[in-house]
Amino acid sequence: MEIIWEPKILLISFILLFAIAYFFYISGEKKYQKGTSQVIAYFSGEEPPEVLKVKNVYWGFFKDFEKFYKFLATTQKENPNDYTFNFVLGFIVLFFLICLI
Amino acid sequence: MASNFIILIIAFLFFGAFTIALVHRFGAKFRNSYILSILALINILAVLLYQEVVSKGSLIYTVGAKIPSLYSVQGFPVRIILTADALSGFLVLLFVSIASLVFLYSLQILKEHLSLDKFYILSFLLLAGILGFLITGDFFTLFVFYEINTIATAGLIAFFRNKESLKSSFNYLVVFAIGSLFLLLGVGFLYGKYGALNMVALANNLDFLLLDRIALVFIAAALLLKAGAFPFYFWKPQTYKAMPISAIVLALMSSLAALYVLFKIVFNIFGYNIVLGWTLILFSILSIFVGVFFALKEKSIKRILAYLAISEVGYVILGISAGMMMANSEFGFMAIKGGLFHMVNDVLDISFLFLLVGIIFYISKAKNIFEIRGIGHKYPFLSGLFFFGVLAVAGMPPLNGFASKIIIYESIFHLSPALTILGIMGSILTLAVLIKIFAMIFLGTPSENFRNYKKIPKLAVSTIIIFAIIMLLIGFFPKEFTNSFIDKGASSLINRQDYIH
Amino acid sequence: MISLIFLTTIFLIVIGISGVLFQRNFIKIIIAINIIGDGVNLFLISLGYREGGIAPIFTNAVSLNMVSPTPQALILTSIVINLAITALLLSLSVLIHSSENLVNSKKEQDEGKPASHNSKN
Repeated sequence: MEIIWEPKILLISFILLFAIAYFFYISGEKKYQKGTSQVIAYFSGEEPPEVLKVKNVYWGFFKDFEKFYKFLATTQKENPNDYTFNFVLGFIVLFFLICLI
Repeated sequence: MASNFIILIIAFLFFGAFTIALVHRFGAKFRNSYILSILALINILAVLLYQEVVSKGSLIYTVGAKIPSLYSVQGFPVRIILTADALSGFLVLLFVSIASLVFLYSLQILKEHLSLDKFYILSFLLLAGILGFLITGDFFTLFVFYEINTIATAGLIAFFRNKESLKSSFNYLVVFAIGSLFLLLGVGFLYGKYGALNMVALANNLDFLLLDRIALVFIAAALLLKAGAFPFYFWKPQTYKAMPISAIVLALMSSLAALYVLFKIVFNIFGYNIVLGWTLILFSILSIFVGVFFALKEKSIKRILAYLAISEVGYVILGISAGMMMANSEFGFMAIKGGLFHMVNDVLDISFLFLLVGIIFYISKAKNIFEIRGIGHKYPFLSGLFFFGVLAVAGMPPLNGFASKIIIYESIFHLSPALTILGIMGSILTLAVLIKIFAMIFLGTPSENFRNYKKIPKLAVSTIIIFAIIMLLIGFFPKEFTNSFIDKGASSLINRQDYIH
Repeated sequence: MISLIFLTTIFLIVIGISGVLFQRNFIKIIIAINIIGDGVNLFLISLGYREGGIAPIFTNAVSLNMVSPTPQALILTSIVINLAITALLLSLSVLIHSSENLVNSKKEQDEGKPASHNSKN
């Protein structure tokens, strides 16, 4: 494991990896038809929404965790009562874990 | 002589903070040069202090007496003692240099704000409070510096006086007032039982009965609240969203200083304890996941970066508390070294991202960064720097994030393989968050015309480039870095007998 | 058998914390924080008590059995710091009120409904 910390070896391995990736890039298909079904990605499972902006790029993740996010959104409000409630709750958890076990 | 430097650093910062208001009357240029001269002086003192500490061991400074001893001439066991050992000397040096770079940055970015002198007064007070946290040797001084930090940060949150900032500042101050009163209560328990307040006297006498555990819970709750770890992370996003960018870096440093104090208390005074170790490990894993989980859905970039800061603090606590659990083996020492190294890398990486976001806000005058799309075509240099920061936080090999994370992963594997797997999962989710924000800001078709964008501020970008160079150097030469700075710090954290002397 | 002082301290702190948890008016929250501070100060002073002791002043002292002066120094600092926090909290609530007529932390007002000047909870 000590070999990671040599900076020359890091640099050489980086250049080597970049050369391999470039080799793969060069040896791809140069001719393909743009508008046909050759370029459509294959989705298995849920259909993505029609217009996919970058901010929705993790749509599958959010769909699976929707209930959890709804639950978490109810615990996060921005008034001082809820801040102190979270603090006292965390304090009681810490107290229970350290003093009573 | 060098032990005087401990208090001179803080004294000069306080003096500078209170006289900026006077100097401001003479014009802006004079004030700027005054600020830079005080910062240069503090830097020189910090470097000298660190050299002294490395060569001669810990330094002790007793406030108000000539001889640094535990008992005064009449025999009272209560003195105000400031100490600097290897780890706190290094952290003082690191924080002072990063703060000087951030002040240089803010000289240009905040130039057109009207009440700029008040910003500098508050920032100097906050910096003095952070450094005071690192050098305190005494529980009551800890409470006083905790309060200074709270008040200075509350002033900085409400600096831009819009509705959101004022409400965030009020919420912050309410919960931190209660936290500091809990800290005072814990200190009061310890004083009531042992009759002494400085940490060395308590380290000699402490046993681990129920009353000490209760005091530890109160003190640890207050310090974890300031650090922003798992049960007490809720104040960070709204607070970091409202602060000006240079102040966010200072708030980040104060979180890490609170973590250092917590680990100093736990290692040197309370001793190793299995329940406390596993509790901290549990909290750290939960902070890692809470940080990335919320960050995926947020809509404001300062909040996203605040959640990432929570996640990185989780890694630091994971490394150090796992090292505490494996106390007597070589892997324990490596884990503590990894945690401390990650503390340094965390403050560098997250500050880098925050400062870059500050520049983007400055040149585009946008209120909400997700109105900005596709500026990577016009500003390829800024997008390259941001991608560099993304790689550093996510942990790519030639940069510093990789070095500290792999030390943590390797060493905690021997405690329990599940922890390493959870840490790697957290790292992958961090990468997901960072790729998303990079793509949203810099890629895609440009959304607006760039005619009303200001020019790139050269001074600010050059400070960010200095950050990038430091990150690259630490990434390429991690072994030299840890050997020269962090080894002694980690060993001073562990050696309890050394501390008692 | 818990002595009366500790009971009073616990009572004050619990009232203060429940005040911060359940009150919605900003001024009442600030008063509750002051009550917690008073409870903690009371606890700290009571640690220094010696049976039959007098005030710890050396000149013209009647006897040498004195109450310990260290906690008194501690709570002086604590009182001043709490004063600073109260002042900052009050000025913030004045600014919040003048910017949007809001003196409550009521949940509906978090969602953006306009608040009237004397809104009842």
